[in-house]
Amino acid sequence: MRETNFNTGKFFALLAAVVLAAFMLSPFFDTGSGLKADAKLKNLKDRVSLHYALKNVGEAEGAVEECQGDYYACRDRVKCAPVTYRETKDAETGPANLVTSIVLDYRAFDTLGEVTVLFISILGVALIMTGLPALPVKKESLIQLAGARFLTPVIMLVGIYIFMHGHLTPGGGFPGGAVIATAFLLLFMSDSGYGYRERRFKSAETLAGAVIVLLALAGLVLRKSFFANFLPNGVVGELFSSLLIMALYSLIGIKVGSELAGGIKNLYTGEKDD
Amino acid sequence: MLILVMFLFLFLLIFVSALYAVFARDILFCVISLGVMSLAASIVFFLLNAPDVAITEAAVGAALTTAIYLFGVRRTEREDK
Amino acid sequence: MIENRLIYVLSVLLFIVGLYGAVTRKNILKMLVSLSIIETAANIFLIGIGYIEGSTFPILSQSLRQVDRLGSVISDPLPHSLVLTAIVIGVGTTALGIALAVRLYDRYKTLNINRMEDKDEL
Repeated sequence: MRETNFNTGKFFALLAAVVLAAFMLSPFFDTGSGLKADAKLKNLKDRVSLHYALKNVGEAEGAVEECQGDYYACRDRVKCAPVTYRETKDAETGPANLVTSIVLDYRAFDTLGEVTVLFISILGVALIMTGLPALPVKKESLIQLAGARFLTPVIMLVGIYIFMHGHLTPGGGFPGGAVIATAFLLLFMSDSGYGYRERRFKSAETLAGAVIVLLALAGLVLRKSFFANFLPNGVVGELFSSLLIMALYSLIGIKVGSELAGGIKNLYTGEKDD
Repeated sequence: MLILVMFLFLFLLIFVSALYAVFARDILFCVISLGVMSLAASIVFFLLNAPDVAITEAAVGAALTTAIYLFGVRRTEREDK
Repeated sequence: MIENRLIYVLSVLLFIVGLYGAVTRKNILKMLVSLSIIETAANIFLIGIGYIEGSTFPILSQSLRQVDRLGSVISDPLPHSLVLTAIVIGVGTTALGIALAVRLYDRYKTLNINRMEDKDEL
């Protein structure tokens, strides 16, 4: 058993961390030379993200092509129409929640990568926990059992509301799926008579993932670009506007919910080894 | 002005929880302190005009991450020897 | 209201706390907790880049009816989408790390990295 003396190591670790912090903060304070951070972008109208907010990214790309790649030289030539709640019809994207329009329409490929990373990590958890014995279950109490059975449908309803209204209110598929997984976690921990059907969770997860990729490929076939918006965008702010984004967030919510519930169940009881 | 005071108070709470999570001897206390830090960070995200990120951090960081760590502590030991 | 540089300084200090914990602690679960602290610090930094003083949420609703070119008083929505992705990936890697820690404890009967050695090899 080796126990080396680490006190000088801790001092040098603290010193190195302080030096690193000084380097990380130096662009934001004016020292006269070296790296500098740009302080001119204090308003949204000076930033490039203005086009994500005004939903005219296509016209901005046309202006960049006219000026041979220099965006800041000719940004005044881009036609900017204001976007109004419940009045703008058939814009480039439909959601009233501007963050949703970035996550699922302008940068949908990053979301596909995120879904893939989550899938691989939960698959890794299931592989690693193979063969470990289950934790011993304590005898449950009646109040906890009755409360959990009453609360679980309410929690699931809140989760479904969060991902169905992802294009109108803050939230979306990822916290909605996490809330659904929390409902299942409550059920695992407090109800020993809950018959967990593993196959249903796995088939829900794989089916939702496959349909996401199929919808993206349908956009490729119909509009010649991956994840293109081929369903009609209605009026900004209504429930049934931006149908493709609503469908994608619902599928992501189902997938993330069943995935995280299955992953936590694998940590709680080990996976069967066959 | 009130928002600045709330922001500084919440960041003080984040710092104290993070320092306690690094320096405590009992791992269960570390994990609960991490949950408090996630919750305070979720409110900081809301004060910085990001409600999407606040809901996601609250649902994922404060509930699921704490549950995952607690299952890990239950399968291993609780003392930091 | 909140100046941007204040957010950057505080998030870098939180990063130092997490980095110190990840480098000097010997228990594997403590190392994973410090990694979570580092990730939270990075997320606060990213949201601080997108924060514009005197602005409101980037969501159109009854109270924010119109967004136009000169009167846009909303925060930048682009860093919010990056942080949304980062938080979910953080929970995935945490779950994988906890599974590996459970396996290590099952094999070596300790979580202290100084004491994990194979005794059956000479």
